[in-house]
Amino acid sequence: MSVPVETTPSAAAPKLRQKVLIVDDQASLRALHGAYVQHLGHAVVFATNGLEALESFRREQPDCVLLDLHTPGIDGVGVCRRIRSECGDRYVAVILLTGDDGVATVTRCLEAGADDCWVKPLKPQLLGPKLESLNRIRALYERLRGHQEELAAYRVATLREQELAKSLFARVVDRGQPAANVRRMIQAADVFHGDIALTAWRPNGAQLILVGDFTGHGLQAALGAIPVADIFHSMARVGFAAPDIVAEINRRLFLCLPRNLFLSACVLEIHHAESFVLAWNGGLPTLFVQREGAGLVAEIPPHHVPLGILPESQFDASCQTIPIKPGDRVFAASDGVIETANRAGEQFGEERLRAALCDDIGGEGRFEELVRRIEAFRNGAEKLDDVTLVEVLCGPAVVPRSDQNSAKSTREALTWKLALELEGQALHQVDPIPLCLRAVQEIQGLEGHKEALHLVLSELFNNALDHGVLGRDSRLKETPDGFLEFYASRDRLLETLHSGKVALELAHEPTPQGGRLTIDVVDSGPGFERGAAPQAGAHSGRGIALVESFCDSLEYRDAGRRAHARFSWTREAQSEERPQ
Amino acid sequence: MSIATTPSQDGRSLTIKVSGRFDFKLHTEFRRAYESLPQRPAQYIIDLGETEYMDSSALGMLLLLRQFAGGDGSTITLAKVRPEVAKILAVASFGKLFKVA
Repeated sequence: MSVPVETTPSAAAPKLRQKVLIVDDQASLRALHGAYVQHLGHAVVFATNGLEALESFRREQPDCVLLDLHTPGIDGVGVCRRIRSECGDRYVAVILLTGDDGVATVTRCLEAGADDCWVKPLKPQLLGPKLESLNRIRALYERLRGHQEELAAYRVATLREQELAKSLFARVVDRGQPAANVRRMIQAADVFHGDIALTAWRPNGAQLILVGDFTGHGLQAALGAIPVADIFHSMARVGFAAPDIVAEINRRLFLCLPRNLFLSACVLEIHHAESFVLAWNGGLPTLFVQREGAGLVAEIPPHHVPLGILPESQFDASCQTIPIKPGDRVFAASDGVIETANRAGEQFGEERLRAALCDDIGGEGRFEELVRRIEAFRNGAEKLDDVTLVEVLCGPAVVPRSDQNSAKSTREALTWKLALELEGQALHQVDPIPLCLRAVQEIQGLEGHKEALHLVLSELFNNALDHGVLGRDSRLKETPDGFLEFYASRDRLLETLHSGKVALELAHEPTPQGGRLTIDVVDSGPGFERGAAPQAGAHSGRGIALVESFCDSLEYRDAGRRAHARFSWTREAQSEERPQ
Repeated sequence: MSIATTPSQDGRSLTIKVSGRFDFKLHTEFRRAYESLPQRPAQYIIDLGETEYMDSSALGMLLLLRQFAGGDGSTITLAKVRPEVAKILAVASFGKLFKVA
């Protein structure tokens, strides 16, 4: 039996009190060595054979084992091996006590996992310093183990944080169905990246695209991405235009991000049916418009400071207008594409990107070919940054038909009126359509009629503004170039506008079948003869024809200054786009 | 040392020279270069003559310096910019926030 012996420590207490297990079948040596160790101030436990030694080791958890090589039963070498296999990452000093220190004996001991072998009987003068030296090793070992555990804990916490960031990001940024005409590749350099690509449709059929690259990675980037995606989707849904969305994202990021973080991004508003793109690029490498057979027909260079850096008062949300043709493709790439490096440190560069966009590849396969070329160039070298590539196919054919069964309103028809009048610069600085549309949605729901209402409101408002207030001739719009010019010159006119008014009056009342919304748009202009109103067929007249097709009736009153439209909906037929 | 700081004799101007790669690894050192001064200089010159590359976190560090130096009222010059770094600054339109020489 092993016998724990309580001892009185000597006057010279050791720096660190150890528990020492002494294993010997010879009672005299056991007692002698035990007395030495006790005298040094350490605690002692004894065992007389191999089996007892192992039991005692497991029960007493000693810091140090002085083990006779020739113990009965399992010998010292066997005990030492077992202790080594059982002590895990706890530091236990095992010293084998031998009759000689010949090469063969020492080798045999060390190979069994002993820390050292000492010749017995032990010399009392040397025992203290030797145990102290073992203690120093133990202290070092413990410190190392502490650091390792700390590191492992940090690693677990970091991974958990990154997982959180990843799931937050996925929920917010990858929300909704990706558009069928948009292809995107986002390759992350880190566990989690800071690149985003968002798409949304405005109710009028224009498509909004945001491609962005946050400074930083992980949670940092995810936190910034949440407001960006929220603002983008909620503003697009009610019909805000690209400059408004860009300005709002900048405002919010400027408020919530630390000064060293920002979002390099481009926002595109693609008018597929009208064949033009509004583009804002702040800090993303040049975007390209590619046309089969003609190569690169337009470029959208970065001409703004990235989002989140400038305060609202200094921010410039002005967009560039680019004409496009059906079948054109817009390509956006984060700087990760251009800076993709091969093993030699050479960069993919803008020239290779241009070449891939100009080469005779054939529309459908170009995106895959471009991805393949970037991969082939990198050729297994380390990914240094996120790599994002987005392709947008343009043309009226890509505009999805509205999902007529979506978003049934179950809301009760209510009686209410709403009026909004804008005068002078208010007509330049405020877009009343999203405001009205949001109000209608808040009060009455009518989700399923969102697109029709957007179209009716914006056509009537734009006519009132263009013809009533600005006095412009819509025949300008009949050629594609004129169409672009029409919008460009409108901006110039609006900038210096100081008088003139447009009022929007909405009134809703229940009907036996559902409800009726009456829309009046009144301008301060001179009015016009009905015959002079825009005719169907041209770019603009089509607008009025569409309004008529969505409404029960459209009349011009007060010599053409007041457009009066009636829009009915039926409860059962909430899902139908055009109520009867 | 990849960051070397030289105050002008009158203490009114501080030159911070960044050599090699200007990236997130220099975050602490770059910050220390301007935060630890006993007296704030009126203008800062960031000498990029030996800067081979800048990443977006380096752009972020410049924005932090700009904020520290008083935002719109600050005078910060990015000097001796090499072509490859000039391209990075141009993409981010940093010419609108800093003097680029």
